[in-house]
Amino acid sequence: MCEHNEAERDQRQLSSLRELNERFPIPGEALAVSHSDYAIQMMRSSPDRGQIWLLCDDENAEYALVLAIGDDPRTVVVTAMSNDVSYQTDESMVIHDTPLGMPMVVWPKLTIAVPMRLLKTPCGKISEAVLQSAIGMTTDAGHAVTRGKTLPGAWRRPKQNLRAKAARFVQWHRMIGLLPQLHQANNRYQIDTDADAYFDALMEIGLPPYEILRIRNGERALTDGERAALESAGYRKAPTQRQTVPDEYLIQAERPRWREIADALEHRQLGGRAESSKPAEPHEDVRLLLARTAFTLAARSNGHDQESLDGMMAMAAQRLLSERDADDEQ
Amino acid sequence: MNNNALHARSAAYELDMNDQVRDMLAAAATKDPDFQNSCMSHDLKRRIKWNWSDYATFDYPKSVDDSIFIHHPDAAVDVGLDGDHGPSGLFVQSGKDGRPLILVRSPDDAFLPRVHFTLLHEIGHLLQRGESTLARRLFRLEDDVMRKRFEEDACNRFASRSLLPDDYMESMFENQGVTAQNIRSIYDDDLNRWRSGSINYQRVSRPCIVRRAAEMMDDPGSVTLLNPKGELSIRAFSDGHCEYQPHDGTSGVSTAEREILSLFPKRLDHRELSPMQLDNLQEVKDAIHVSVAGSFSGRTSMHTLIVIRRH
Repeated sequence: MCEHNEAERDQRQLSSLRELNERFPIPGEALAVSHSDYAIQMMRSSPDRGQIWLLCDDENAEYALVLAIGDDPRTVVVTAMSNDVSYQTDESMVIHDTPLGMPMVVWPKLTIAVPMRLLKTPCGKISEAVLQSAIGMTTDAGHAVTRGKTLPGAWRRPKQNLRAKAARFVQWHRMIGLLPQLHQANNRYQIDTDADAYFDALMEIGLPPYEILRIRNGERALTDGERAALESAGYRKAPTQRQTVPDEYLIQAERPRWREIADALEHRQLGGRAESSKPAEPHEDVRLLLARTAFTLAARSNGHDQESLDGMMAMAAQRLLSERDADDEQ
Repeated sequence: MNNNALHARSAAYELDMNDQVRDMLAAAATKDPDFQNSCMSHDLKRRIKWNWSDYATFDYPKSVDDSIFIHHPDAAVDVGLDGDHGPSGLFVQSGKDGRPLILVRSPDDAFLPRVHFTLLHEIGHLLQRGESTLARRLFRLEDDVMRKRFEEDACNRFASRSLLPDDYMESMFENQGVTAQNIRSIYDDDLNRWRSGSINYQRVSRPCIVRRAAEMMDDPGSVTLLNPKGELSIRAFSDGHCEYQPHDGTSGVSTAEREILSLFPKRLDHRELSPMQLDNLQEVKDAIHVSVAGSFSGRTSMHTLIVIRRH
C-alpha cells in the first residue's frame, strides 16, 4: 500500500515537471552550451573576451561577462550579469539575444577583477559589437541591446539585488589578495653554506642519500627519532629551505579546466582525513598543491607550453586523487 | 619551465653542473665498466638492462597508463616530447620489489634515439639520488625550483654526453671545429654505423647532436636545425640555452638564418660563407664563421643545419 502511494506521488511529480517544461521550455541555446563537447572545449581554453560564465563559490552563484584577463593572469575582469530581467535597473543594459536563449541584464559599472578560479560553467559568447554596446551603454540599431530601466512597482527588489550583487563581487575581488604569491622562484643559483654539515649529519644518523633528498624536497618530514638523533649529535639547525613553484604552474592551476579537480580535492580535504602522507598544511590551497605536485612530478619536456603544462597538471591531479583514494581506504 | 629563464645561468651554476655531470659519468663507469661501450652501441637498451641489473630493475613497456601513480606515488615522471603527454620515462627509488625501478616507454614504433635518451636520463636520476657526492650538490641548493632544474639539466647533459662522449665529439670536430658539415657527419656516422640491410638502428637524434655541438663551441654562437618544412626544430647556443619552434604558428627561423639561406639553392650539400658573402649580410656581418649543410632523411626530406660562430 505504501509503495503504491509512493509510486503515485512520483508520477504526479513527473507530470508537474512535464507541464512546467511545456510552459517554460529550456531554450535550445541553453542546452547547446551545456552540451559536454562545448563545455569541455571552453573549459580547456583560456577565458576569452565576450564569454558569459557562471561564477560560483561555496555559497553563491552569479553570471558574469568576461572582458579581459586581469593584470594578474590568474584573474579575469568581468561585468556582473543576471538572467532575471525583472532585476534590471536604470544603470543596466539588457541583451536580448544571448547564447542562453534568454535575455540577460548586464551592469557595466559593476566591472571588477575576480579570481579565475571562480569560473565554473561556460555559457556561450556574445559578439564584440553586442559587447561594445552593452559595456558602452549605447543601444544598437538592431535593438539587440537596450537600456535597462527599473520596472514599475519593482524598485526595491532590483536595488536590493544590485547591492547584494555588488557586495558579492567585491568580496570575490578581495580573494585576489589570498591567491598564492607569484614570482616565488627567482632563478638565482644560491647555495646554502650550512647545508654540507647538515647533509653529513643526516648520513651519520643512517639516512641514505635519496631519503635525505626527499626530506630536502619536502616529500617527507623527519621522524621524531631522527630529530632526536640529530639533536643529540648537536645539529639543531636545518638548512634554509625555499619551497617555490614557478609562475606558469601557479597560473595554470587557476584555469577553469582544473576547477572540478580542485573542488574534488577541496571536498576531500575538508572531509576530515586525519593524516596525510605528505607534510601539507591542514587547509592548504588545493591549487597551490596541484601546481606544486605538477612541478615536482616532471620538469623534462620539450618546453613548457600550454599542452605540456596541461599534461603535467593532469598527471598531478591523477596522483593527488589516487593518493587520497588510497588514504581513504586505509 | 621557461627556456629563456635558463639562459640566465651563472658561472657558478655552470661550474657545479660540469662537476656534477663529470661525477655522474664517473659513477656510471664505476658501476658499469662497459658503460661507454654500451652507450655507443645499437644494443643500448639490452646492454644497460643486463649490466645495471644489480642496481635497478629496468622495464620497457609499450605503454604507460595512469595506474602508475597508484602503484608508485613517489615516482619521478618524465613527460614525453613532441606533444605526447604520456610519460616517456619514470624513475622510482623503491619499486614493488623494493629496488629502484626505471621504466622507459618503448612502443613498437618508438623513435629509438628518444628511448635511448630517456633511458640515460632516468639513470641520471638513479645516480643523483643514490650517490652521496651527487646528492650533496643538490642538497646544497636553497631553492627547490632551482634544485629540480639542476637535477633535470644534469640528467639531460649526462644523457647527451653518454651518447656523444667528449673524446668522440672532439675527434669529429678536429678538422675545422664545429661546422654544419661536421655536425652532419656525426649524424651520418651514427646512422651508417648500425645500418643492417634496410634497417637503421639510429642511436642518437639530430637535436641531441645539435645540443652537444653547441656545447663544444669555443666561440659564442649557435647551432640551428630546421626541419624539412623549413621550421625551427631547435636552436642551441654555446651558453647552453636552447630555443624551439614557437607555438604561435610562425616558423621560428631568425632573420639572420633567413638571410643566410637566401644565398643557397633549395637542395644543399654544405657551404661555408666566405668573408665577402658575410659582409653582404646585415645580421651576421660580424660573425667569424657561418656554415650550412643539408641532412637528408630518405631522398627528398632535407633538414638544414646552420652554424654561426661570433667573436
